[in-house]
Amino acid sequence: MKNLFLIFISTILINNFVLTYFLGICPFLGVSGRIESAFGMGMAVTFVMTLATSISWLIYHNILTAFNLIFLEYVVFILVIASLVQIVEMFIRKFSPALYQALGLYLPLITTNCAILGAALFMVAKNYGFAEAVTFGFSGGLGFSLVLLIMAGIRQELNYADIPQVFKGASITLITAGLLSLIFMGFSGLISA
Amino acid sequence: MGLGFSWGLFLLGSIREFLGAGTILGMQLLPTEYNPLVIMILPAGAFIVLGFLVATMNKVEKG
Amino acid sequence: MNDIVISILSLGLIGLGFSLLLAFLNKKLRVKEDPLIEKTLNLLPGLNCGACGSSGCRAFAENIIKHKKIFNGCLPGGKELNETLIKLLGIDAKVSDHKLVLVCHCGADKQQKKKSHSYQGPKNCVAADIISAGYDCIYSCLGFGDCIEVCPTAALSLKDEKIHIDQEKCISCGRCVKKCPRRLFELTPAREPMDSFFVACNSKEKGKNVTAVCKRGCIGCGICTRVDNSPFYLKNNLAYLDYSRIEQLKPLEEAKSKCPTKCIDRIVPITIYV
Repeated sequence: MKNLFLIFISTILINNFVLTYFLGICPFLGVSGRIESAFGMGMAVTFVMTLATSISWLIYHNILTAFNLIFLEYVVFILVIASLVQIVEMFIRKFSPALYQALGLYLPLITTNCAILGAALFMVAKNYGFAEAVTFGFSGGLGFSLVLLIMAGIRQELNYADIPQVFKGASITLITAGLLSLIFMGFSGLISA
Repeated sequence: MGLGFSWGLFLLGSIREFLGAGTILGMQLLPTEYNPLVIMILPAGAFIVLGFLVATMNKVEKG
Repeated sequence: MNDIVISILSLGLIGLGFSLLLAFLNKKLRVKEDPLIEKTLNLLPGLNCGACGSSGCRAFAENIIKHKKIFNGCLPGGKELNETLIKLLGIDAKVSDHKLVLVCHCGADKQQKKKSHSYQGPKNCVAADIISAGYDCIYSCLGFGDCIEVCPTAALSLKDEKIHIDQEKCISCGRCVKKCPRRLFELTPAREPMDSFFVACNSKEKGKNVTAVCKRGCIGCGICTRVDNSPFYLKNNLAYLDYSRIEQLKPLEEAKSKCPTKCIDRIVPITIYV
């Protein structure tokens, strides 16, 4: 139980997927313009990441290792993630057309989101059990959503700020992301050893 | 598109390496007394340098 | 050899499993889209201005097909587009031939408005209005151009710190009306061959206080209300124009010439439907 809690906290704050490993920058910079779409994207990514890690773990330990097929690791993980994203897109299109329009192109881009493949590969490399893998995926998604929401809040405030003309748009967003990453580095002392 | 991407990476990498370690392509250009800007080596520095590069390109394009 | 067979089999089975799941869900979660929506959408101008009251052209197409009503119609589309839509979708409606002309109720330029302080905050109207910054008159145009930013056809501009409306570009969508924090814009009905008249002031202060801060402001003298058949009326030291009472051109021209601060303005509306 303590182990799960440690994984939960460390994945959200210390080893945050976006700000420490720098995976998933594409939706991070693309969808963080408004808080509503950032929230929707964060929820979608959390859902996909949790399911992706769980299903990938099951397939990895029951099929791939059992039959000595570890070389199929990447292909199978991508297959699982792509199918999950397709399912999520179908759900969102049916039950929330407004969110579907707001996310636009960035919804299918969750498929190639290196954060999700990264989560699956990290879970394999760290030899997690099933409960740990699910927690890892879930907290990875939550950490992603947290950073996305913070970025969306800052960007909405930046709209009213007095930014020099050359810095407006992508430039100030990137600099803000860099500063956010520095801020999150301060969490690294949270868990000793 | 690939060439543009490579050029962008090269530019970003050279600025970060030069300011963060005083070398370019392994050749030590700044004296050893130089206290390197560690932030440039960190990924956070990459974002900030990239932000400034985009601003520079905006200025060049607008004139 | 064994390896190859097993890998093909397992990958194949996993792939098959997921494809079956996806095919099943595709049937269950299908979103049926009406081809009529695409057809209607192609006719619309695609400006997504929101003048119709819906959130964009696609939403407008969906709404008029769903409710079989044209609501306020598509303003940038003009008479022909709205008539085409009515015929295509079998809606029971008629297109009128009135255009709404945009006017700004602050017509003072740089030389006329008094400014005795310097404002250092964010340069947008909404923020400046919170502390009534900008000019001495607290009813005036703030001059930071929030309306200019929000206009979809770039019909608004600031000339000599006074708002200038390009009537040819204006599509009467009403975004500026909602955006201005001092509510200076108004969409007035215009009918050919009469031009659109309006009072270029928003100040509810008494005459003495108005002249202290602006050379063009309405002092509430009431001369415009006393010409023959005048459609003007006074309220809160400010003259208003009742557009439903306009019948002839003469009282409007007379009131304009008699106004002591030259506060009544006249614009020629363009592209009235034939």
